[in-house]
Amino acid sequence: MADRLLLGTRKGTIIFDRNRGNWEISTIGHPGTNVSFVARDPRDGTLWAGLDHGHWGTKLSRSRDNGKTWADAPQIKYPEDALLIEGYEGQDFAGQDSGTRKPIIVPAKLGKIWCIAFGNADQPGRIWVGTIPGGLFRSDDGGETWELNRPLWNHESRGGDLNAGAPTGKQQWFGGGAVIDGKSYAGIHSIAVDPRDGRRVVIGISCAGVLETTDDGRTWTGRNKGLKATFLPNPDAEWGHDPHFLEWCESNPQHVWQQNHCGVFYSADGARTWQEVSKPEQGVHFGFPVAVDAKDGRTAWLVPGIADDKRMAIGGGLFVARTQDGGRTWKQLRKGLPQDGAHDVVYRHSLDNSGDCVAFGSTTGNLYLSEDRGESWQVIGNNLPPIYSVRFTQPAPAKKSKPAKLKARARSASEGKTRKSGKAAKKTKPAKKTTPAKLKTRKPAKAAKKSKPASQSKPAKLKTRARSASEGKTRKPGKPAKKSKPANKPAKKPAKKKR
Amino acid sequence: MPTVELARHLYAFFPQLEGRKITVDAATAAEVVAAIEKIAPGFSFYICDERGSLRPHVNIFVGDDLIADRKRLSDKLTADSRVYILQALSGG
Repeated sequence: MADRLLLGTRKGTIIFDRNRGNWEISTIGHPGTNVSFVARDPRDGTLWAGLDHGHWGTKLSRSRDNGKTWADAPQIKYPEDALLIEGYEGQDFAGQDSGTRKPIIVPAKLGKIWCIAFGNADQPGRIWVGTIPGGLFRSDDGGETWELNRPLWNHESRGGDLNAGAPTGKQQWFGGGAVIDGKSYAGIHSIAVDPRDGRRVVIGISCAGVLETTDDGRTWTGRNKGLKATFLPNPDAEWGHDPHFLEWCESNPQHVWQQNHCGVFYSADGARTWQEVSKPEQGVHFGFPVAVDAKDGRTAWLVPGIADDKRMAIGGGLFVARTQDGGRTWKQLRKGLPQDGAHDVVYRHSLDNSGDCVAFGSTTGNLYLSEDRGESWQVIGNNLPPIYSVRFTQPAPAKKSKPAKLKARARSASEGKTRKSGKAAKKTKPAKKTTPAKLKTRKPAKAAKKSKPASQSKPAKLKTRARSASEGKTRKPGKPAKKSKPANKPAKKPAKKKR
Repeated sequence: MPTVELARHLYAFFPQLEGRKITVDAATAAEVVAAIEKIAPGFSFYICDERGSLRPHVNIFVGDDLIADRKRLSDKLTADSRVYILQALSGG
């Protein structure tokens, strides 16, 4: 059972821990800052967060001591020659190419870090980051350096290589993610790495659709067969689809699900073909997130809302919809959820599951949890800031004693289960604790600092040691992190009061 | 040499700048940002985007005047300039 929830919220990173059966806030990071996504790298326990400072821009932040202290990571920046079509002459938004108007081509700039996903155990240091305006970035050295994936950036569906002087293809990506400085751009919100073969990655883009690579990002193929885009003149168009979130079954990634702007879609053949499984009469049509059972690819959860013109809970009553038969039938699960006057809206990264646990957070700052696969719910957080991301995870093992070999094995065992963007590996078993780690846990700050440069040349062993030493300090769930003074962020009041 | 004052919020990210008088050897606003980057690595990406343009919600004043060139920050300074790097208020 997962014992920890990582929340990205409008006012910081909030960590809930299960403490003797009760879920409580244990740690608050980035107080006051807009946190778009938080995930834990199951391979080394590093936490990664995408921040939006408003005035000061978008930043990537990481913690090597389980969320106690955070520091800016090497930043993701669009290279100088990364160009995008901002619109067309006589048109004031990034709409679709009519084929006749002259495109306005401008340099791309980082707008938002929207999702973070990790490579498999056999891809050490591999991290993927999806951004607005549509760039997919990859690191192969644990986040020390980042590279824009050019084959995707120069994809024909995005207009081809814009450095060629003029688009070589028809630009069919457009705004759908978020408005940045008055303009809207396409963004990558879903990245799924195949646990069986990390060279296969499927991504979701609002608005463009789904793309797949099977050769480690060298080539990308559209996977939008069967989707409907009812906001386009041709709903069956190859491009321009609006998947809101995409997730697959971790143990059988041929089963892929997406909550789309235009309904709920399921694929039993690895995203090659999609089938609409919406049931509007049961409220199953519009929404943002979807979660898929790790073992049974036919079981999925949604949190539906009223169609896009309202984006509210249906009839003021909040419910989770679950299918166990690949979307043929749905069950509305309402026990314990507010049924009167609820205005909760749940964004695409704010629903997650781990074993029998399902949790979701809403833009009205409520956090709900079920420990029986959605049958009944409890509210574990009220008065939180608007919630943008919810991910189950395990607190990192406190102490390490066994030789690295064993640890590595434990890690790769968890790998198979953690393919979703930062999703909990419920089966990960912390390495056995045998050595008293007291000495190490005394100086968490130092340990964190030491590991900061993370030079890739350092032997992995050393790094691991430094990290678990710093992680040792976080063994006390339930204890507010008030007193921790982040190295480069003076402690402030807990953000949740500063709405 | 020009002196620089920063929005208080920036000290949260760059505590090494807090409580010290910042004077820099700089002839333009861009050089001010570059000089501070040297003592506080990462600073320039807080003030400017990756293309070197001033972020939309950040202002730089030289004396009482807002800089004119938000794209390249080429506004000239004199030896006794006072430079202010502040959050831009946009409504409210």
